[in-house]
Amino acid sequence: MKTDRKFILELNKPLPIAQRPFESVARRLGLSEEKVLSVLSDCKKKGLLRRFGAVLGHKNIGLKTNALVAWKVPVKRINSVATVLAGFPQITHCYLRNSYSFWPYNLYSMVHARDRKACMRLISGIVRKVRIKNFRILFTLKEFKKTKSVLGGLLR
Amino acid sequence: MWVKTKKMLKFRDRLLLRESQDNFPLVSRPYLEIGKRLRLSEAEVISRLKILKKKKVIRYVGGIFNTKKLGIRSTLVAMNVPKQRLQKVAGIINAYPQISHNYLRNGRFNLWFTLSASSRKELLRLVRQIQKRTKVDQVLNLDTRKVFKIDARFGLLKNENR
Repeated sequence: MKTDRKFILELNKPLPIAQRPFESVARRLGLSEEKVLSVLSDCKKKGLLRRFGAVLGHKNIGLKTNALVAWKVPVKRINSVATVLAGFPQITHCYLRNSYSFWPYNLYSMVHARDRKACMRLISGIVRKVRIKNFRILFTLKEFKKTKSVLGGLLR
Repeated sequence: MWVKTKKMLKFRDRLLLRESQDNFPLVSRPYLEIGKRLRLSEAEVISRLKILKKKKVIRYVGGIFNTKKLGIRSTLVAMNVPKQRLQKVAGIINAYPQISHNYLRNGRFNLWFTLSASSRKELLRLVRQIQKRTKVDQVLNLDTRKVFKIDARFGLLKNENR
């Protein structure tokens, strides 16, 4: 079966925590549970599915502070710096982005820690390792919105 | 990274969370399977995970797709919003289903949100529309050029390193 739009949209929705979590989604898709599970495993193999499982609320497992750290990295050092950043388990996201003359930061990393103090200590350690002097620490002060990406309307 | 908060999470819950986060079995009865690994009944696993969900330790159980491979493009947008207009502007931004995260941060650019669309052109159209609707002058559109890491999994046991 081709992994179609409908399948991905349905499986992108959170699943019920129940004996047979795939039962209702299979019914909506008009497929057997076995089929849903095999297509899902296929998606995983192809890299279309990053992962499947529980997504934790970091604040409620004790990680109360996080910051977006924006780095100004010379072009020729981008790959090596990004590799070092990505190696930190406390960094969950690392992206290369457009920059501007008035906002020269091109590499962005999301850093998680227990509290502000631990976060600052962690960032100091990261700075020592990547040897980048020009960066901004942008703490998350409030989450106005935090949701799972809605794929409906985005898939071609 | 190991989260050192012994009082917050019992060891059994940590094991349960780890199995659910890192080793979720793609089978018809995944909680029966997880239970077997931890010597718990399926019913115990389900009721405990439901409690952890209620406490928001678990946000949800489900699949995370590689949006880039699905042809979706994304950007991070930062705005300079005067304090007294924050609630209003945040409300306008939150209403967009294409925006999944919208955070307040320190600094001149204080409102940061992630935006997804089916093309770069559509991203730009949305950014302009949002700028117009929110009447914010200073906007940074930080298009995603390359993803080096996305992995919002957290270590739950001591010495666990990823």
